[in-house]
Amino acid sequence: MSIKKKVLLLGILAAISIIFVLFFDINFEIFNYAIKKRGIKASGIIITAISIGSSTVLFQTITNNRIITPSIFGLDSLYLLIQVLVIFLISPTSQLVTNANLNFVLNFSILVIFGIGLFKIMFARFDGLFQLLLSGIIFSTLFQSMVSVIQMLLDPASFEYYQSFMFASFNNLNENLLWILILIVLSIFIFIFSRHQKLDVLALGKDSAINLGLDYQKEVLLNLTLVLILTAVSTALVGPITFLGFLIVNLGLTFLNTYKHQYLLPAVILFGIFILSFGHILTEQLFGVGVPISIVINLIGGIYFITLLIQENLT
Amino acid sequence: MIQVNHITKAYSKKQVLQNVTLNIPNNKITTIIGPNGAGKSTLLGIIARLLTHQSGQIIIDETQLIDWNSLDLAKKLSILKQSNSTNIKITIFEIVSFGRYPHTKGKLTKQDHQKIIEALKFVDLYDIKDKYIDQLSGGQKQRAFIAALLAQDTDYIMLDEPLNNLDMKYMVETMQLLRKLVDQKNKTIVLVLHDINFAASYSDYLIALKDGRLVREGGVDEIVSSKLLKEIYDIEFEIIQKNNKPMCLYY
Repeated sequence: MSIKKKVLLLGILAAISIIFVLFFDINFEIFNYAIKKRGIKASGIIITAISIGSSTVLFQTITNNRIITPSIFGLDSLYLLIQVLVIFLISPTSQLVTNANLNFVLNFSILVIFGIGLFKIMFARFDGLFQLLLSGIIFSTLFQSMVSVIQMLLDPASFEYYQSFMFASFNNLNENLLWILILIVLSIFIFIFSRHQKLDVLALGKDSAINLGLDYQKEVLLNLTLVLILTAVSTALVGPITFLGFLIVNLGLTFLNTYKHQYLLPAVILFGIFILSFGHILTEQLFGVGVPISIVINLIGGIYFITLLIQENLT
Repeated sequence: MIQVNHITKAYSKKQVLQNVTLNIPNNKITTIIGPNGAGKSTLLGIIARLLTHQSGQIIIDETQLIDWNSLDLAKKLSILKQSNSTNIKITIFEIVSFGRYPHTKGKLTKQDHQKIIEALKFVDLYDIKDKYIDQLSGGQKQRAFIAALLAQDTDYIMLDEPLNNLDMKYMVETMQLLRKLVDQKNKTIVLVLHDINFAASYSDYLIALKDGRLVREGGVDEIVSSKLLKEIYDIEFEIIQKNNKPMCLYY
């Protein structure tokens, strides 16, 4: 099968799964209401797939590593820290957490400010990516520990409220916000896609990229900033889905067997749409709404991660 | 011409290069020799802008290195590092076609295809051009990277230990190829080599480094003397002449 056909096949698969999300077992008596609700979920799925898919591809290209994902920056744990702090310090009914728009703006801006601050400090002192990644891991652990401490101090009612943020979900998305986000995420994606040849060169590694005339520092900084914005969008919108990026990028790589971003980027995103829709339907229809989608994704992703590690060890 | 002016490089407190000043002549094979840790690869890396340096300047064709546009420089100067590995899924043909990137930004014309095929045939990899890099032996891999450099078609070509991993046959063929590039296509080649005999028999110009300092630069006859080599390598050398080329015996 040619590579274009494979991408096409994935496209069909993704389209079918989105149709499923929209129409599966729909209640025709309240069709208009239901389709609107489901449309919001479907667009949430698409935004998440695009942002997590392209940010993970970019990130792995910059770092020349197939295992790590942008969650290494600690954005996931910072997101949880923000939620738990607002609930603990202000109140569980504060507008900052109950109003989806306000909550998104709060999270998104803090995540981006944190990320840019981290880049600025690390790139001013060192010239390597590794210091940046290491400091990301340290911050991530710090935020997690802070979250754990504050969690203990929450009263049970607040904790229950906080719990809804711990796992990603497409069930409480805001319509107005989605339109703006679709626009932002799509334009970033088009920008990334238009530079696919530069990304191919970047994937060869630092020395080769410089040898072939890429302005390496500039490229890394630009792409890291895009990664940051995209990760912040998806985290602030639906919450942390740690393994999704890892899962879909490696599925894409294994399926296409290519380094070409021209095919890789769409394939990874289409895999993302498929997996998210699948997980969403599974959680809604099979397990009832009680099981959040990120648990399903992390279960599949985690198993795949371990399999890949073992395989890598064997070869 | 490449001019190296007062280059100093240190990793935290360890001085790797100290005030190195030299000129690399055009249309010649220049080889940097010296013991381990002399700073050979570092010097090559600095000239090819892969590494930064603390003070001094590199001037390539009358323009300072920092004033060069990176893409323009990639059409002028190319480098192959000592260890080349890539973890991406890529075929030999694809990696060689990356050599054309500075000229085409990824859109290959017929002429580019011609150059790629020419380079592949030159290193004897044309028949297996669709094999993935991770299925190759060390020597085949090395030749694939050399082919990519040939496809890049720059005036200045720098190679760090290009003979590593190669069979004797390909060692000799690589050196003959480099010789041909200089003699027929007016390229300028800068090498780092460990084997003093390869360096002596194929180079026009030698640069001897030790402990980050320039010991001496000059023609082969000037450098390859038992006294100077002993000073650089700390062992006894006997030099014999064979076909007008010096040969070093050191074992």
